[in-house]
Amino acid sequence: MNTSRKHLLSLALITALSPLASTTAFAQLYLEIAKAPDQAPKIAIVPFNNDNGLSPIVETDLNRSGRFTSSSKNLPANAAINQIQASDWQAAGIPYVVTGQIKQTATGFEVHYQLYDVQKQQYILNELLNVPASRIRQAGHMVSDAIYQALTGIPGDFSGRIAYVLRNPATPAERYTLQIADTDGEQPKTVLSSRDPILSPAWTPDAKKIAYVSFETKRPAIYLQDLSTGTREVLTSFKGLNGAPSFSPDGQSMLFTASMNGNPEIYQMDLSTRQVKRMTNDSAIDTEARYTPDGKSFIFTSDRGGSAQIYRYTFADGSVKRLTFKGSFNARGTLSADGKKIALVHRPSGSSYKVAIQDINTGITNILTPTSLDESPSFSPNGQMVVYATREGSRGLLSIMSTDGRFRMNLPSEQGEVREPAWAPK
Amino acid sequence: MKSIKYLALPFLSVALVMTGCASRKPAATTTTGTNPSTVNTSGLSEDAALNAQNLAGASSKGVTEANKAALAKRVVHFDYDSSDLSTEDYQTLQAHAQFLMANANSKVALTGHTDERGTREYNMALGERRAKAVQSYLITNGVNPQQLEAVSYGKEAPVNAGHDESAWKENRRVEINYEAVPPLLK
Repeated sequence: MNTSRKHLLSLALITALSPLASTTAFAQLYLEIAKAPDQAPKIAIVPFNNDNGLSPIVETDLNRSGRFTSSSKNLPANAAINQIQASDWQAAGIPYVVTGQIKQTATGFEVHYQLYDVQKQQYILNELLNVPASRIRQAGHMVSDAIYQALTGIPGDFSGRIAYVLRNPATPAERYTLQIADTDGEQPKTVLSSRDPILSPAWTPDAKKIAYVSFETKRPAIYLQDLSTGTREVLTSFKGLNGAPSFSPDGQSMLFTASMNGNPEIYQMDLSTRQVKRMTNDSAIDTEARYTPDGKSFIFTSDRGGSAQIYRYTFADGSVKRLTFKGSFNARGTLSADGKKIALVHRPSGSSYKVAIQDINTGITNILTPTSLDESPSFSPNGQMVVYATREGSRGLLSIMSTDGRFRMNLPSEQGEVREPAWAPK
Repeated sequence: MKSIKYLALPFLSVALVMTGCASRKPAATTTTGTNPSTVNTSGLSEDAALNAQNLAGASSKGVTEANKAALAKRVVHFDYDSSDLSTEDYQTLQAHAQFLMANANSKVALTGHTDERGTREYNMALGERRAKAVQSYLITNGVNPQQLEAVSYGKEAPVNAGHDESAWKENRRVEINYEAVPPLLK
C-alpha cells in the first residue's frame, strides 16, 4: 500500500437516526424504510492472505451500505480460499463469509476472493481481479460491489467517484479546489484550483469530463474540463448569470441558467454546434435544471408561484408542470437513474433546509436527513445512496446517507469546508 | 473571525470591472488537472492607471451637505428571499444616483449577495435579482445604464461568516462598488 497517500477526507461512520425519527415530518412512510439495521445480514470478512489492506476496505464499504453488518474481527473461526467449515459459521449465526488471497504479479496484484453462503453451503462468488499496484483500494471497492450485487441484485457503487469543492481559507491563492475522490473520501485528486469561487460541478454521462462554474474572471462562466488531460474550454460566458450546468443522457446537449435576456432562464446548448435555445420564459427565477434520465424532460427550480418549487418541463409539448407543493422552499431537484425518485432541498419550516426524497409517481415526500442547512443532493448511480453537503457546527462537510435512512457517513475535511458534491455516473 | 477576512478578500477587487478595458487587465492564473495548464483570463482591474483615469472625472460634483451621509452608505440590505427596497434604501440610492449623474465617468459594480440558506444556484439568481433591483432604481432615477453593472455572487461572499439570524441579515445585501472611490466619499 502506498503509505504516502494523502488522507484528505477523514471518514466517520455514524448510525443514523432511527427510521421513525427520520419520517416524523410527514405521516407517509417512505417504502424503503423497512428494516432496522441490527436485523441486517452479517457478513464475516476473513482477512485475506497477504491482505495489503484490502479486507478493511470491503468491511467498511459493506457496513456503510446500510444493508449489511460486516466484521473482520473476533470471528468465530478461521477460513481461507476453498477452506470454509460451514458448521463453524452456522453456530455463530453468520450467513455469509468472504475469504481471499492476494498474489503479487509483475505489474501489480491478483486478487482472488470468494463469497460463501453458509446456509446453502456453496460459493456465490469465486473471482479473480488483476489490478495495478496503485489501484489496490479500487480492487477492494470492486470486491464490495460484487458482494453487494450478489446479495441484493443491485450493482454496488463503492468503486465510484465523487467530485466536490473544497474551500480552504488557509491557502488564499488556491482557496477553492475542485477535487475528485473515491466514495470513501480516499485518493483525492485536485483538478482545478482558484482563488475565486467554484460551484455546480456536473459530470458528462461518460464521466470523462466535468463542467463547473468558476468566478476566476470575477464573473461567472461555465467551463468544460477533460479529466484525463486537464485541458478545458469555456462553454458559456454570457452577460449576467452563467450557472447550473446539466448534461443530457446522450451527452449531446447541456442545460444551464443564464440571464442574458434579463432574468434567470433555462437555456439548452447543442454541444456540437454550440447553438443556444431558450427553454423557459417568465419573470420569475428559473434555475437548477436537470435532465430526467430518459432525456425527454427536465426538472428545474422556479419561484414563479411565489416561492421556490420544483417544476418539470417536457420537451415534446413544451408543457410545464409543478411537482412540489409541501414547504415554502423546494429546490435543486435531481433524479435517480431509474427516474423514480427526486432528491431535493426542502424547507419544512423555520431555517431548516433538509434533503428530502420525493417519489415521482405518488408525489409522497420524505425528509431523509437529520441535519439542516443541507445542499446539493446527488444520487449514487444505483440510487441507494445520496451524497449531500451540510453543516455540523462550524464545519461544512459531505454526508452520504442510504436512501432508506438507516446509515449516514460523514466526509469532513481538516483542510476546510467541503461542498457541492456530484457523484460520478457509471 | 479570521475567516471573515478571507471570505471578503477575493471580492475586494470586484468593483473595478467594466467591459471594454480588457487590454489593461492583469492575467489571472488558474491551474487545472494533473498536468497543470495555465489559463489566461481577463481579471478585474487593479490597475492604478485605470483608477487614476476614473478619478479624474470624479470630483465634488454631485456631493452636497444633504446627500453626503447617504453617499457614505454603500450597501443596502434585504429581507429573506426578497429583493424589495426600503424607504431608507431609496434615500441612499437617490444620493448615489445624483452623484453618478454628476460624474458621468464614474462606474459602479452592483454586487448582489444572499445569506447561506438554500441552494447555491438559486441564491446566485436571487443575488442577481437584488443587484438588478438596485440597478433599475438607479436607472429610473436618471443614471446612465453604461455606468452600472449588476453581478451576483449569491451566497459565495458573506461579510459575516456566522450561521445565525444576525449574520444572515448582514449578508443579504447589494454592495455599491465604485470603480474608484471618489476621495470626497472616503
